[in-house]
Amino acid sequence: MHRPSVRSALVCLAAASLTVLLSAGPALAIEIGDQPAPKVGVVKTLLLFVLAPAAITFAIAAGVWLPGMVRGTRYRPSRGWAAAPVWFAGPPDPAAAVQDADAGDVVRGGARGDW
Amino acid sequence: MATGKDEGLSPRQQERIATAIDTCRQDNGLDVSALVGDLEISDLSQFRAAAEKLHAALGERSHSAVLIVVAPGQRKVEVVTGPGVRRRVPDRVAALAVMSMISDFGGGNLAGGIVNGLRQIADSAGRRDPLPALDAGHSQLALTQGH
Repeated sequence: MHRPSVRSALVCLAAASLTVLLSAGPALAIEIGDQPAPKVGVVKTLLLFVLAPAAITFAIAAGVWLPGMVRGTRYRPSRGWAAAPVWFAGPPDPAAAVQDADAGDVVRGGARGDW
Repeated sequence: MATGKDEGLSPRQQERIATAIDTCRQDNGLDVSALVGDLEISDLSQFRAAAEKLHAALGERSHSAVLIVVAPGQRKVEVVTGPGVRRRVPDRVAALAVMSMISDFGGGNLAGGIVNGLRQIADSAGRRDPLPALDAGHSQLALTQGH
C-alpha cells in the first residue's frame, strides 16, 4: 500500500509525455522522408512578414487620418492665423471701403470677448 | 501677421458661414456681416476702434447692420451693432452670442462658433421682412493699412 503513489506518478508522467510526443509526431514526418515543403525565398519572406503588416498598418492609419484631412484644417488657437481676412456680406470693394471709412461719432453697440 | 500654419477657412466652412448670413437676411430681415481674420493694428487695445471703422465701411448699411469681427490669431471677437439695430440686438444679446462663440473658438470650432453666434443674434432679433440678397457673397480682403 506504500508503492501505488510512486507507480501512479510514473504512469501519469509516461501518459503525459506520450501524449505530447504522439501529437508532435506529424512534425517529424519530414525527417522520415515525406516531401519537404518548398523553401520560402528571401523576397517572399519579406513580402509576407514585413510588407503585408506594413500595408495593414498603413491602411488603418489612413482610415484614421483621411477623414480629418478631407474635412480641412482645423483651427488651433495656439497656432495663430496666417490666412488673409475674409469678409462675408461685406462691402463690394472692401479695401477701398475701409480706406474711406470714418467711424465718426456714431454711438455703436455690441460686445467683445477673447479666448 | 500671425506666424501660424493654418490655411484659413476651408471652402465648405466659408459656405456654412455665408449660408448662415443668408438665413439671417431671409428669415429675420437682419443685416449681418462677418469678418474673419486678424486686424493689422499695433496695439490690441485698438481692436474695438478698428472694428468700428470696419463697421463704418459698410456704408449706408452700417446704420442697421451687425458686424462680427473674429480675429483667430489675435483671439478676439467683437460684435458691432449700428444705432438703428441696437433695439433688436441689445448689447446683452451680443454679449451672450460672444460667450457662446468664444467657447466654440477655444475648442477649435471656428466656423461652427460663428454660425452659432449668428443664429443666437438672429433668434433674439425676431422676424422681419426679408432683405434683398447681396450681390457680393464674400470676398478675400487684404487689410494693408494700419488703422
